[in-house]
Amino acid sequence: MFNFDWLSGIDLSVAKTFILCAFLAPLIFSLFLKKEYIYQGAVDVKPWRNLKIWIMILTIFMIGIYSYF
Amino acid sequence: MNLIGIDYLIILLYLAGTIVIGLYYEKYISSSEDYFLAGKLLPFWAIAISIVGTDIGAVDFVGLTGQAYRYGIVVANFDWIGSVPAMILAGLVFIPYYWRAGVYTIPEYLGRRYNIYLRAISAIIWLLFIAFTLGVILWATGVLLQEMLGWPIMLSIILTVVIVGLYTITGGLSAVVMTDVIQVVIMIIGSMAILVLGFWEIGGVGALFEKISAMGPEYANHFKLVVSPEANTPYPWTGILFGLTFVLAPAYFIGNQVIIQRSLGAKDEWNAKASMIFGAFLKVLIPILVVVPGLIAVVLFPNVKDGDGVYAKLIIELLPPGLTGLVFAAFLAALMSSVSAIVNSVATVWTKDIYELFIKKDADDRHYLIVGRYVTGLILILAVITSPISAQFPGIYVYVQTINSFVQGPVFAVLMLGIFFKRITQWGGFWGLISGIVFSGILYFFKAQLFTIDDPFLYISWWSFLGSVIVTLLVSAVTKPKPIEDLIGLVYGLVLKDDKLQDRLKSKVE
Repeated sequence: MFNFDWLSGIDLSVAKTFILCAFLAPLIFSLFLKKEYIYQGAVDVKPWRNLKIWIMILTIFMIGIYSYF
Repeated sequence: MNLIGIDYLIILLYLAGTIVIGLYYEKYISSSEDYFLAGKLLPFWAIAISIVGTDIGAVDFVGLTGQAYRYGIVVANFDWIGSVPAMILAGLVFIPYYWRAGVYTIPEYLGRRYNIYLRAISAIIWLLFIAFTLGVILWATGVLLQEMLGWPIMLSIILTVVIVGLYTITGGLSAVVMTDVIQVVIMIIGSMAILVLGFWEIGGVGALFEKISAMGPEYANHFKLVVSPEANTPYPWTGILFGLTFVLAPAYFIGNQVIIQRSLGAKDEWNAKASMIFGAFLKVLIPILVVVPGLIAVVLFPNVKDGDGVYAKLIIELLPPGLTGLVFAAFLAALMSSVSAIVNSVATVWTKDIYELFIKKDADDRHYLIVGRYVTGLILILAVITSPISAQFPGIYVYVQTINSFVQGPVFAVLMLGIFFKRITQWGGFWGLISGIVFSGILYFFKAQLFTIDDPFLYISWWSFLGSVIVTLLVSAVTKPKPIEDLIGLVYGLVLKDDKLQDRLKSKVE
């Protein structure tokens, strides 16, 4: 049980989907955050300061890498 | 391996530059907040670079390249799935709350969220762990430099400690972060030199894929990030997902004082959040610098028995004079950035969570600044004295890391539940932490009976985390929670619109 033996039969493509979900979860969480929370403390509200966009770029890049390898 | 004049000149220039930059920040230190939190003036990009510099030690260069040589790109999981989601979560949820609460340390947050006992226990556990780690890191790097260059071990250690001591004692966190920035740039240039010359030697990226793929079935997993538990690897996907992604990575980026302290010194809440997310961008690049050289070594030296030796082999075979000096400057940079960060954090935890709390409560701020500086110096001296102990215990580095995995899961459980749920009580958190650590110890003690792999630290961290969550929830269900007004600013959702607190903190900064 402690070795996760019951998961050893799972196909690697399904395992990869779990891992992709681990990348997607923070992105989805960030999309639900209010704009004022994201910009809280910022000196201005220029688009480049929108951390949701940063997270989106990062997540898409990582999903690309994990999908390929 | 021999260095020549130009190599030594580059190393000397690096060391002199580090000292000058470090000492420059002394003039900005007039209070304990300036010293421990850089006066809350740090920009996100400097914090992010510093986090990455602290994260990558000199031993990691050799160790990760060696692991990549043996097991392939699966090692990159530590910087990708084992960092990116955790850093985003830290940046969006935890860091803003720590920053708003105005705390100096993670134990201080735990003390305010739960109780003083949890603060003291977590501070003591953390100090003990770091006290071991610092000496071990210094000794391991000294051994590395002795093997590569023939430098006496104690020479490397004393050189590092004197230089780090000069700028860390005088300039505090500002000096640590700004020297980290220089050190990371040196590390990247040095690593890129190996990468570019390596690809040149083997015929490019395409040739890397073709040649390794043609080397036979034992290399079948070298380009796989997700590996079956049945494969001969210490990094099966189950351990990577449950142990690393769900527990160890968040514990590291959310509960490790060495990492968090930089973000607490951010100049505003946005910079605090952005520091972690920008740091995640930088972490994405790290495998290119430390994992890809391991793959290049597979092509160039396919029959090396000890994977940890391939980094030195790459330096000897690929680098011309001058660049060799740069790579060794990068080595020293990696060591110094880790040591300075650890020392600064230990001084902060000792001063704020032990000295100010239990030894001298109401001294003026200047007193705590002086104590912080003395403690920084003392820790460095102790690290030099205790570092040879590592030689008596060859497996101590692995042992220390294993002990670390005992604590990380339970600490993360308590932090996560505490920040997300106001119903979690002070005694729920207290017993959750204690029982989680005890549970880890039991799992480790019976590891031969319970686990099928030799070093099951990823699994232990998951199960101890889960045990800690269950105990925290059970004890919280039967004990009385703190009043809501005591939790404002400490639990997610309770300060989302508290602009007054934000303004007060901002005016403090300005």
